[in-house]
Amino acid sequence: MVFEAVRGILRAMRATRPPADTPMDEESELVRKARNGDRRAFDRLVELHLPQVWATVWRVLRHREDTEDVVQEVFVTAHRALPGFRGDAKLSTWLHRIAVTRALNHVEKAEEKLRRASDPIDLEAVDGPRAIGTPLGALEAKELMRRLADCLAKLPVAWRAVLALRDAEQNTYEHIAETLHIELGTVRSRLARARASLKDCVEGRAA
Amino acid sequence: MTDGANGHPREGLSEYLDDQLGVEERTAMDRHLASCEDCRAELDALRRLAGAVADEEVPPVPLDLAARIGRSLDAATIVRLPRRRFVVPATIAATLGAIGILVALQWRDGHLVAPATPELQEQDRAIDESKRANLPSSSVATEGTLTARQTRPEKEAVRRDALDKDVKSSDEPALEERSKQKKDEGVQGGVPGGVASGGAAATADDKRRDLVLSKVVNEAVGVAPRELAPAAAPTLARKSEAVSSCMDRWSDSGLRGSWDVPNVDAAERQLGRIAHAVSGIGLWRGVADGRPYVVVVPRDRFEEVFYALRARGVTGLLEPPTLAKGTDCTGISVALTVVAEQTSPAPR
Repeated sequence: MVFEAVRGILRAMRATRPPADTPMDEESELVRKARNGDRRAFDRLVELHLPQVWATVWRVLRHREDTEDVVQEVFVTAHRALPGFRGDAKLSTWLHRIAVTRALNHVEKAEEKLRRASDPIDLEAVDGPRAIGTPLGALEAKELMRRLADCLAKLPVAWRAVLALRDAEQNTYEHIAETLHIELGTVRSRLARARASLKDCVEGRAA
Repeated sequence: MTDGANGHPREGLSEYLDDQLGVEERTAMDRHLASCEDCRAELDALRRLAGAVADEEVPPVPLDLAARIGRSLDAATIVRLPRRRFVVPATIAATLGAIGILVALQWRDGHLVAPATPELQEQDRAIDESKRANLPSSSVATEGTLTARQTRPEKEAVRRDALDKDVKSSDEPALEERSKQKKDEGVQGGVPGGVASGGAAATADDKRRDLVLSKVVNEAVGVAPRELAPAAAPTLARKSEAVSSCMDRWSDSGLRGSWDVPNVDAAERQLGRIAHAVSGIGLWRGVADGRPYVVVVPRDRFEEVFYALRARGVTGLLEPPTLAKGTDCTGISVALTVVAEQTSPAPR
């Protein structure tokens, strides 16, 4: 239990710290310069926030090349919209919202959302008949991660986005609701269903 | 707290895990967990799963991604600067173009009024007098008058020469070479621009292609088009407002072109300029197989861009397709293949 608690604290710290350990005043200065058209300053901001944006988009899309496209779009959009960035939220929060929105739009645009949402999770494809009914607790870490990757890719993107924002990035329910433009109750229900479906899939049971 | 199958609060477990339950609900859940081994196991599994999601490794950021983002930003910036610089000249050019069209219409109807200089007035009087005396007017017309009343085929020839110069100066030598090749092969309309196929024999289709090509090429290189209709002025002014629309919503036109280039950076800049010249956007996706550059353009400028791409040597674009109903913008994929400079001159 202590180990879980420590890991939770570390995760929370990792989720809230500024990217690349950049002092906030330095970032504010970069934002100010970039808003005035300083391209080098914006390049520096890209460098600082690229890993975080990349991770967010990848967790939603789980497709390397689509992620590359969307990450480019995120920064081009941010560059264009930067003059309107008032600084009410942190730049990382602002970029995070753009990243999630762009990633979901990308899926919608590709009509992948419909396909993935309508595809039932194919347990045979995940692990074959021998995986049926294996309790999650009995899986070794390496096997768990392998099944997890397969099952996450098969989840409806709306569920996967909630999972990514909550479990991977440790965002609050309120932040998730705001980012995804959904009600708090929808966050709760999606998260519960996503976790239950993911668990069933990983264990090799019908969702 | 929602009870699931067999009375086990499955959805509640998720909220319990995230400490999202109120005091009463949490207390009730604690009581249930104390007596329900299944739910304890379920909670442990969910906790382990959440930990696994958090610990899952994300693939590393591609090394060249920051550079690609930079190139996308460059493509956007390249257009913005000239746009500001050329707003006034473009407006002037559009106005002059409108005046030119009015003059041409007058001339076509035989109502062209020569400039009212004393010298020309004198010449007109001489013509009128010669008419009254039943003398051939050419015998009294001066050289200056003939120039002022240039014949229509001559004007078209001059315009075509000027277009030729534009395309050659703004584009790659490859275009000139391809145009020549097409002309030698007797192919009509292969390269837009009856520019290459020439003169009075040009078909109406060629002329239309000339016009759309010249518009795109001129706008792409920041030159105010000579032959824009008056409506072009608001179009140019609209560009800055509409530049972002294609980023938000676009659909695939289904067009797949390919372009052999010696210099990918230069080619990418050209494609970006074309896209931005029509308030579209270029999406750089790399040069690997199946990773084409996507030129995303407003649907109403699609045909212009189609011919402009063909003019630059993008192959595989046979005829502009009928676009399916969809978003306001559409994307044309251009796969870039790097070839040795000897086989294909570099785009500038």
